[in-house]
Amino acid sequence: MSYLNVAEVEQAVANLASDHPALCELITLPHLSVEGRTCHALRLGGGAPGSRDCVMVIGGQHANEWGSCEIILNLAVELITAFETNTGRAYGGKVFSASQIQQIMDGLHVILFPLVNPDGRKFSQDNIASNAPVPAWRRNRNPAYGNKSFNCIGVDLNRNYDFMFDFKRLFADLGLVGWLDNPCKDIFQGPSPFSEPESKNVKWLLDTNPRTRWFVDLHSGSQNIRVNWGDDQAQSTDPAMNFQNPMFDKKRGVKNDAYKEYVPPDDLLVEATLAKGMHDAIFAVRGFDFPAAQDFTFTGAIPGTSKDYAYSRHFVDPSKGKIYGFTIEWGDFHPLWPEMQLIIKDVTAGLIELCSQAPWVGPPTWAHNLPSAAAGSVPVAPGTSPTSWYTTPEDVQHIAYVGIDGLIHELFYFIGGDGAWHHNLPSAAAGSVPVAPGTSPTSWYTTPENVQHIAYVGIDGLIHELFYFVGGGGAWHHNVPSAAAGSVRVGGWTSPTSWYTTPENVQHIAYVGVDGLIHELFYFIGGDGAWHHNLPGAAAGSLPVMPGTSPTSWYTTPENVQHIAYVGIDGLIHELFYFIGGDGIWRHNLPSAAAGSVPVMPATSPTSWYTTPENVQHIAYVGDDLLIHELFYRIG
Amino acid sequence: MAAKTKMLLVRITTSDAPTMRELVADLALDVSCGGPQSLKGGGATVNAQLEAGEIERLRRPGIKIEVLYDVAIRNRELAKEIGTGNRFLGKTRYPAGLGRVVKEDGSVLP
Repeated sequence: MSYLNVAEVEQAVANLASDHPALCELITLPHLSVEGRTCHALRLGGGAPGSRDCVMVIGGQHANEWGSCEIILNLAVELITAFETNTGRAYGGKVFSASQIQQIMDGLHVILFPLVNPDGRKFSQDNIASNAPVPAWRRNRNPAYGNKSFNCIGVDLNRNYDFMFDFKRLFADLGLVGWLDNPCKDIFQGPSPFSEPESKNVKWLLDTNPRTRWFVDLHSGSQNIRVNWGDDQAQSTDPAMNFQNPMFDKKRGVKNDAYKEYVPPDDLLVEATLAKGMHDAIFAVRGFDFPAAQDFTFTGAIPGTSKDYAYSRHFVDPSKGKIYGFTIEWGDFHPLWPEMQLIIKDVTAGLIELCSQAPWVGPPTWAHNLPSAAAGSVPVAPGTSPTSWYTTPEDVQHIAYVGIDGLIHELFYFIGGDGAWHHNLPSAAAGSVPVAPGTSPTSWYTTPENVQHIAYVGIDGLIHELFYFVGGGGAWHHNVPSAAAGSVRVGGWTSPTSWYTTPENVQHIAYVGVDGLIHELFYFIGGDGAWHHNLPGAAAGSLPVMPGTSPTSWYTTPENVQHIAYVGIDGLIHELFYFIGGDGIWRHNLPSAAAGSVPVMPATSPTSWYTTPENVQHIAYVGDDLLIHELFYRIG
Repeated sequence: MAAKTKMLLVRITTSDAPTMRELVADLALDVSCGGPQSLKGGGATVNAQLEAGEIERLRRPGIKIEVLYDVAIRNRELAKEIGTGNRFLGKTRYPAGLGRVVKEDGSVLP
């Protein structure tokens, strides 16, 4: 193989999509190039468009930087073929494991636009193929703005983006006049932002892939990795000093003066971390150093670049997602093919490293999803709450809830799978009855049997169990723990709680009985196959439960103690606890005796959790002052 | 305008940034992608295509010029490396990946 001509680039892109349809979607860009060529990109990774965060890599904006296109195609081929064969890839001394590739392709979308400027590449290659004695070509082939002589055709696409385009107003006098605005110069920016169909295509890709979070633009001519910004040095202390603030017009772009462009400190850290990751991966291939730094420090002020436009979008329009921008400059314009192959390996390693690291680098942020969008899901019954659990090693997360049809519904999501929530109906199990109005289910997961469980109060006032063998027959089954001798019906408008104790391998449900006491149902997995009953509410000092409230439970290790907390009829938080392997007696405590504690707000129920390695148990509740209160106990 | 004379790719290094800015501003240099690159210590460097005759005119104190290659010679070599026709219409569908295969057990195939 050697350098690809324009037809070959398009053919390879189309063939990748048609040969690997499950992994690779062909994206047709909406704007024809100036000379009428249709451009294409690829979306790698399964799942629906928009269902995953996205890394976007573009190349070939500058016509004479051919190798960017070959780098991106190599990246596509490597990710697809390694994923399909469950193998990794090695480049010189840099090794990516099979699981790293699987994680990238299962977790991300990778959008690759290898040839932004096909007209320019064609012109550049035709000139060289015919040994025409002309300078290398950089721009697109738009003849609209100059006098149509050789040097007065085309726009520098990487100066045509809508970031500080109006340089005469925004920058200090840097000597850019006569260059950026001169149709006969190589860095002619064009008459307006996105005046060119080729840069419009990149904008369209960003607009239509709003979960793009990392953007890389490949170039050559120098050898480095560049991060935002390109208009001035970066600072992270004064958010008001930024490219949108007219107070700083005509002051930007001068090195070491007062103006510096704002980058939030978290972003600075993310970009530096990812750039270093790429640097280290590239260096590991054959020891080539691609220094990583802010763009401005390499070249001084450059307006209108794709990388800065990508990052600036969320500042200009906060409804847009944040995109970290990078440029990789991979070396000489036109290395001969043997050297170019080595460069392809260098930069491919850097880009795979970026894809591997990117999802894990950055300040933690909450994001939103809508599991109820799963086909078959129904709205939730008013006055009820969901329960959730996680199953390993299948790596699946689950939510169960009461639907408006009074049945238990399940929503589940394969982590690293197709990026979508799916729906099931555990209540379809034979013997199951509808849920008692106003009550909510509880759930747990038992290992090593690999069984997931849901318990709920049926309209018959009994505790029902639904269970499912993960990796089994694919059906939910039904049981009635309340059939245990000694069990009573459940008190009105209360919901059960559940927990699982190891290594005894026992599952437990606690609930409020019609007698106002806390009852326990428990089942030895691998034991006699029957649920048994106990009465924690009989513990000395225990009071009946406040009507209409529900208990919470937790399990503490290594002391091996199970706990239930509830609101007593005195409006205080009570605890019942039991030493597993101990004397077989439930005991009582009064967490609300803690100094500062206030009574519980009527009609509310507590929640609880256990933190390790500090070995602290916690109860949170709504106080009668409508504030959240915590009670905590350092075990030992 | 088409160049008529021998073109060279040169690496220009200046001892300070102002000298580089002056150089780029005074001459219609066909410079590399991002323009001149700052160097630690205050200098700057850029790769540029120049007519051979311009090199002597550029030489002055504080400016170092290295000829990397003759563009015409390089282009003749490159011309042989540009695909002709369409190599992906037949059995070969796209370029082969250049990495070595790493098996599940971590071993790397040659």
